[in-house]
Amino acid sequence: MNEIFAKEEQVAAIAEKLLQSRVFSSAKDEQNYRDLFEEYKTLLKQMIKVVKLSDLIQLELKTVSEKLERVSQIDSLTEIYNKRYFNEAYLREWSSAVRANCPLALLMIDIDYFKKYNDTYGHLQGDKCLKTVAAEIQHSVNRPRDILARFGGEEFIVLLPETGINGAAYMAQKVSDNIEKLAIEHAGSVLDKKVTVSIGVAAAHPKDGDNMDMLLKQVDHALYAAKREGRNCAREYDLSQDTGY
Amino acid sequence: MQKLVIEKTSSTPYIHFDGDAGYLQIKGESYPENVAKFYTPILEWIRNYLDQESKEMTVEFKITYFNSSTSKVFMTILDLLEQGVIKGRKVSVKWMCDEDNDIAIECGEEFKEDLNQLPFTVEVVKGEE
Repeated sequence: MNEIFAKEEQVAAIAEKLLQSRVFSSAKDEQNYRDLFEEYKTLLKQMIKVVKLSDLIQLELKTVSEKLERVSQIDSLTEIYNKRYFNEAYLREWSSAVRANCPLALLMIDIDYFKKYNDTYGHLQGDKCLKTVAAEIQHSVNRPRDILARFGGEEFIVLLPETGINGAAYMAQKVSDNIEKLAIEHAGSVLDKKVTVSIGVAAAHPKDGDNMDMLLKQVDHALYAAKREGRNCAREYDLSQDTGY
Repeated sequence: MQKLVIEKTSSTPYIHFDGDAGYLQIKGESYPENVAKFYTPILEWIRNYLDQESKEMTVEFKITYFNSSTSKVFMTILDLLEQGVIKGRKVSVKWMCDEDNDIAIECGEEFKEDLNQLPFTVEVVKGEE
């Protein structure tokens, strides 16, 4: 710590020398000088302490602010990213796709008959189911830049940078298969009495000025198509089916 | 001496001076916009008290957060109190902190380190507020 006050230490050393060399014209002068020097040393000590305390407090604030930032990005139940973080990441990846001239894709995943699951097993068990499904999706979607977030109640969204519609459809099938393999009992579901998911798939090759909400709408439409067509399946966005709400 | 009570605000601590009891309490958070202005009456009070009274004095700090300017003022206060002790007054300081507030505890230890004459104790208490 003392090195950053090297100049102050130097001044003190010079003052010390002056006092020792007895160059003062009177004893009174010498005493005045000595008193001032003592004051200087006290104030310097204070200054060093103020800086030290500030460093301590600033470090603490920095740690707390990093913790808060992390907490603000995470869904507390499933411990995956939340919608707020998804929105930031989506904007970032959309801009990056425009710059790099490459595609990006979204998967919108919804647990089939989840309301019935809650009605049958209760909300605590429902929460457990959400956690298990979230963890399985996370496990299935494991490229470093892919982002999984909880989008709503039982709805998840996956952001797949540098991925076209075929790659996204492949990922969707993988997620769907892996969830089914978990074989979580769901007595209220007509689908083999197991927890399953419906998945909407959409991809875009964004250009400057394109509306990024469009892809979100498309993936939502695709999810509805998957629901309409019997659930426990993945459907790609189909323009001819778009009712344009 | 008269009592001095300053209610706390979001950025200034609660101040309670009881001249009869020789007791000063500074409690809360301290990051006033104008630190010098806020603490001037308090420094005045301490100076006057040390000059005019001969009773024992107890100063209790219970500060959860403070900024750099405040730490400088606290050192000025501690310096005043230490000068009082050197002149023969009986003064003691308690730095109270919540057991969860590591930084407050550490800061208390730092303040204590530079004091030679003034009794200064860091008291860790279980969280009440």
